[in-house]
Amino acid sequence: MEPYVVAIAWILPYFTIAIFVGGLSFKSMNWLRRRMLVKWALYPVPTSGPGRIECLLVEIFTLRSLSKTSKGLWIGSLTFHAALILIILGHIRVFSAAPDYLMKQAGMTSIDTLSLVAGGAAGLAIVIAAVYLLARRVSIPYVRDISTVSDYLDILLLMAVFMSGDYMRFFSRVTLDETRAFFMSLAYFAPRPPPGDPAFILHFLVAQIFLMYLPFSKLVHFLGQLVNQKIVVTA
Amino acid sequence: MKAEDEYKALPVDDAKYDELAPQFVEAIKKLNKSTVFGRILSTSLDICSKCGACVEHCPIYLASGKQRLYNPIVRTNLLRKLFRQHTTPTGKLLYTFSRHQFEGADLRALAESVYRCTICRRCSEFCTFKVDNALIVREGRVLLDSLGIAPRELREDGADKQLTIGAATGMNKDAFLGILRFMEDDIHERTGKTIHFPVDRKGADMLVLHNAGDYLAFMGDVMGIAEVLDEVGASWTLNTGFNDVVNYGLFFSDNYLVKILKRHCEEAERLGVKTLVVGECGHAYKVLKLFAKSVYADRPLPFEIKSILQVTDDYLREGRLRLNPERNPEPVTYHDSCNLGRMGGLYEEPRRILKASCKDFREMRPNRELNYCCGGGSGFAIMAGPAFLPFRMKIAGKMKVDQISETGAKKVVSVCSNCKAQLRELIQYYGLDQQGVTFSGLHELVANALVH
Repeated sequence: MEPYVVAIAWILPYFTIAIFVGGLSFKSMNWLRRRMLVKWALYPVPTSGPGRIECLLVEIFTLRSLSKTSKGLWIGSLTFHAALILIILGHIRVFSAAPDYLMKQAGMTSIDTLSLVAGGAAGLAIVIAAVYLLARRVSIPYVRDISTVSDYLDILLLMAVFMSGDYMRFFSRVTLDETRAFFMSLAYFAPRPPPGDPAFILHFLVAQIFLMYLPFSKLVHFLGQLVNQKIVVTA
Repeated sequence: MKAEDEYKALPVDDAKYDELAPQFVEAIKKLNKSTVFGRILSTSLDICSKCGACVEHCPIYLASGKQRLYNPIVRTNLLRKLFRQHTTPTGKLLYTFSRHQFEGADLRALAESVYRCTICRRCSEFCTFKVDNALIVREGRVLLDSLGIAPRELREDGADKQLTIGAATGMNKDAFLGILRFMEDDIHERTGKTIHFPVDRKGADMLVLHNAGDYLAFMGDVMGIAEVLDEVGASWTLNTGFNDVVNYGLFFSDNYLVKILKRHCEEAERLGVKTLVVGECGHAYKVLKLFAKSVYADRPLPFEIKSILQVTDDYLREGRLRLNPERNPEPVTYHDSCNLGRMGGLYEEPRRILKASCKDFREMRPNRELNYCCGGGSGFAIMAGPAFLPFRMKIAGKMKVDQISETGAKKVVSVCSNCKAQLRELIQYYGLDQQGVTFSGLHELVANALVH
């Protein structure tokens, strides 16, 4: 194996995991150990516990607050995040055969077709949504005014991850058997050669860079917002 | 690119800014460590996605003709950027090669900028993460105050005066008692009723603390509240001494916030009341409601905190007040104060009271949690600065004026002294008074509708 493949496929993944998990823990602890001595609700707020949870879930899954403002941003963000959820779920198949097994048990036979249609559609939709969000950032003056280098870096990194992934799915011959065997071997600390297609190495590298960067960027909003939302719905 | 406007809120000269810039950079490192809001402040600094959803909903940004300078995220980015640069690993990395030093001019731009936001929290309503830009601005002001940068109206002429004399208006005990006698006479002349304002009555159920400015500027509401309490035979009292409910510390300083809050609690304890009732004042209700508990770390709060809105609303519900809305026939509209609404949750109480006391109630749009700030929030209403009044009139209050005009109402009602002061000036500045528009507090109207 080439030395760069060894570095990307055998060594870097352990750093990636450590930095990703460590970074998220560091960030979460940093938020939670800060004081919040007073209730800081943004009224109106639900009065009951279940009401609060409902309010929180509706906000997370429908981005309700954005629907009150620009429809383009709302639909763009919803598309982006819905596709992202599908992609993350779909990636479980990359690492493990368990989903396939469970779905067969449940009587579903056309798993690969489902994966191709839903996964393929999500892979394309997320690139379109990302391009839209980037175009919006560049073209709307007041959004351009608030954008910093890191905002462009975030979206460009995401697009690199998605596009390398799409390229691998549509134009390369990487198989699930290969990826599963490789990731299993990593998990057992007995690395075996990764899928030989360069498309895999490229996607794997970009994704790892992204994961190491994520905890230290604004993209931790997926965790941080839970802290915020809990504060503002509690009276 | 314009970094500053022609207005000036702070009495600070450029030499001072040059001197303090390095200290501010040091102070920013502690931004989320010292404050009692550290948690939501940290997340708000970290997770804003710069999507811009909030920008076009800021009344100041809109009224300015969408100037970059007043974009709420451009403003918080000033602090966010410094914070990231000096406290986070990625920030340190990204700014390694940055040659730009934080200088006096940058500090001046930042300091003036945090005094172009009324901390109304409307932007957060449109944020899916509920990023609290208003709080970032507030904490920026707290840092500035720790370096000695604060508006004279809020610190020297406000909080300092209140702590030495008892009222930010500078009103002493004799003047206070004189005003009470004047109001007793006025009530007698208007209604024929003899009401005696109870003062320092120990063991009363309620201590009513007004914004001391109300005794001078909005006496109608002070009298209205007295007439309502007298009508139901409530056990209540006013106090001499520390009798101004304002707490400007909320707007710029934790230090003052705590000092003033403690004095309010001492007054309630001294008189042994069951309830501390906040008169028609928005920010004071919020401060007491949220923070009074923390004064008593070792035991529960020995008294309750209520807004006069809740008290009057209860009397109405219990059928203890008879109101004749025909007495207030002109169309009225209600302005939700940010501190009573978005931050206090009192949306329906004032509406129930208004509908019972006035014949023609009209909502302004938007209202409740989406209402626009009057432009006098966060202390602006009492600030004229070296050159600040034109900003408050031309920009901060413009959306409000448009909103009021659209309702066709002849009376704008608010339950916050800050808003009332701003509304009074706006009405004159924009010539709404020529069209017969006036402002009013709530209890002036309630008292007018009272059927004895």
